[in-house]
Amino acid sequence: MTADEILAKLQASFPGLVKSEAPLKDYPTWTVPAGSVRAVFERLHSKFSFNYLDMVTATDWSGPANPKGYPQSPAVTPAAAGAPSATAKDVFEVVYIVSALSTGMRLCLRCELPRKEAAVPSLYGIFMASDWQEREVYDMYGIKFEGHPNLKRILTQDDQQGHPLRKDYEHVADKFD
Amino acid sequence: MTEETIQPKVLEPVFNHANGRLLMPETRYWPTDMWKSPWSLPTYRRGAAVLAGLILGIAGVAWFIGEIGPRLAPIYSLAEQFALSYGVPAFWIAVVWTFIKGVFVLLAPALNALFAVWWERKISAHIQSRMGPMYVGWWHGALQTLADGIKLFLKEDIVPECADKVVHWLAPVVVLIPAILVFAPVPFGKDLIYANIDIGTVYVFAVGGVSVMGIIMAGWSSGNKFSLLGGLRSAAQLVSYELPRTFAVLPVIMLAGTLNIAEIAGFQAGYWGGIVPRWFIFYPVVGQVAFIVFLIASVAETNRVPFDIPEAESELVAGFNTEYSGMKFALFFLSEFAYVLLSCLLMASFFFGGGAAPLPFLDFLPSWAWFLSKTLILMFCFLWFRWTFPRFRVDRLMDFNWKFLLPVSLINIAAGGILIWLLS
Amino acid sequence: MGIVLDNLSKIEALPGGGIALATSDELINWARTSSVWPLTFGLACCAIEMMAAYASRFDFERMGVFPRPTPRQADVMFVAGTVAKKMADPIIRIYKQMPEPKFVIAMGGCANCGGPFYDSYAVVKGVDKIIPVDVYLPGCPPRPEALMYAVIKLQEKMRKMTVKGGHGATPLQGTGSRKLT
Repeated sequence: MTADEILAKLQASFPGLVKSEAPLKDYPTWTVPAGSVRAVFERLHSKFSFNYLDMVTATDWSGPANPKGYPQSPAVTPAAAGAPSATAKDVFEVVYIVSALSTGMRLCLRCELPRKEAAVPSLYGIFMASDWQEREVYDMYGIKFEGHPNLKRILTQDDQQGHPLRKDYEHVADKFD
Repeated sequence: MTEETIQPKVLEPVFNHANGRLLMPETRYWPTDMWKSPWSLPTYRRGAAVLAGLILGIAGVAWFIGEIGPRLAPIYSLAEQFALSYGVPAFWIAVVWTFIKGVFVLLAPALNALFAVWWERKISAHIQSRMGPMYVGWWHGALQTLADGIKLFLKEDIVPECADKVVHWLAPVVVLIPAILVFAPVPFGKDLIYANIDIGTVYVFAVGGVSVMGIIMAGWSSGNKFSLLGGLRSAAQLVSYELPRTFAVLPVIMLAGTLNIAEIAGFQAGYWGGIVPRWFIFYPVVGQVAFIVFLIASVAETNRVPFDIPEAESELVAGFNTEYSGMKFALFFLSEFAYVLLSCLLMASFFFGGGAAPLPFLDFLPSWAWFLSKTLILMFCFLWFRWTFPRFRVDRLMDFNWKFLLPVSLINIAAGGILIWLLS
Repeated sequence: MGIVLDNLSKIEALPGGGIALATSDELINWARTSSVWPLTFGLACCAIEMMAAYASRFDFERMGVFPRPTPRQADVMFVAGTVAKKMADPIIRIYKQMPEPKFVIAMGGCANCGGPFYDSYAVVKGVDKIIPVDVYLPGCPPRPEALMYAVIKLQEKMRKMTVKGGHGATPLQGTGSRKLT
């Protein structure tokens, strides 16, 4: 069964699920609305044997980075500072890559969220691997994964202020700076 | 032995079509050619000559010194007469004499640790094609252990906040004291024995077993989960391997008809057909099986690789001595090597004829020299195992003991009985 | 400090104590320089070079450097790699667990000053911000020979130590490095 056939079967129940315009590498890339993320993955896991979650990550599309996010030298990105690029949108994009170990098929699913109070359903019950991946995305972008039982920082120190990979991140000096 | 010297091969760079670069055809770091015939290297020959010279020199010194044990009795009677002439009571002479002998027994584990740690580090280094300690001391890092000991003696002694202070302080003592006491009935040569008691074998196994208490105390009192796990593993392991170790000696005791270690060693004097020594290791099947079981169980008893799960560095930080610093840690180390020496001495006495020479014409060397060389060769096996075998898993360790070693040692006892019946 | 070193400086008041102390300094410093036991502890790519220094091509053990897995038995800590802020607390804790006299070698650019992660939100800019450092070793990563040179430099520093006046331990003996936050 090819990716297009799977997509056609899924589109019957999830009309918001469409093929993405910009595919990631050569993977079949779909765009999924935030509301149906968990249902789509449940279906993929149970019906189409996509049993391995490769990764969960996110992108901030809101233009160039804030120079104040660099604690030591604010002039580190002079070219980028203040010049919004053509692709800038006020969204986060959560990217899931999931594969079926039996057939070797790999899918990329994208989900756009508004930057303000971004939240997406957690995949915790379906893929156990999503536990730390979602914690990392939360740590770096502040995206809430609803239904995650232990959503707290995983990589940065506990008293970290803000989420470092957001484009509007401003570094607050801590006890080690 | 070839005499040609290795000429360094001058290599021409060749064009590699895959990446369009000039490459050296042979870019190995290791001169593997010279390992084909190491005897062609002058340094190798020189090293072999130094080693042979050392062995021959030590043998010559041993021959020059001769037997020590039988000379002690005349010295004692002379000293006794001398002291009696000054009116010293005979009781006090005996006490002082016992004390002097005790000091020598005390020196055995201490000197052994000084030597064996250095030896272990050199052998582990050479097995990994390293050099080991080289710069400390006058010859090949010979004073390395002394420097380590002085440094450990001067380090801060940390007692953790959550430790059981008294038990934490007591644990190294409880480990070390049996490790010294256990040398009392063990012969170091002909008549070189502290206490020639008739229950020597039982005494050794009984007193040696007390050290487990110290290790459990160390693990429990440190207030550290790694220490506790190490202590518990050690307890399980030592109690289990005590059984096959003791059972392995039973055929030897049955054949010799005595528990006195010196008499067991003396029983093996003489040669079959004037060539094959009458050591227990050469008794068909029973001797070899008993020796192998005893060797494996001894390695396990001394917590050494491949049975070093109590201080497995990759799982528990340093096992039961995680929280011990400075001299207390050194005491644990000392007792570990004391038990290695004890196991080797016991194996030399039980299976290798003690002070008996392996061939009749080598009789001119004194018995203590043979004892020492057999002990050192067996100790080398301990160090050799360390770098040959990977570590056991905990459950496999127990399986190996209860399902293999113990039945084998029990069957071996029956086989020993049959052997006695055949011989009589 | 150990019981021995705490009380050794009292010998100075006795007649001839100064000479005895000077002689014992020789012995103590010889023992310390000859057996530098580092902690088995690595943070990033510098740790690979540290492992190479222990292995057969370079063989740290020639100098008596023998890695110990537990901080209680270690003399020197090689801070080999990037010190992330999340790792800073464990490093301070391990440092406090080491017995006096203790030493620290900051290995590589990251441990010296943050290195390529100088501008990062997550990296401590130099391990000397959290623990006292004895030898700074530049390089990214330094070669094993460089690490050996750092240990030789540390040995030079150890040779200048004296038990006179109770200064037997690290240069921080006066302030007490254990009271560090």
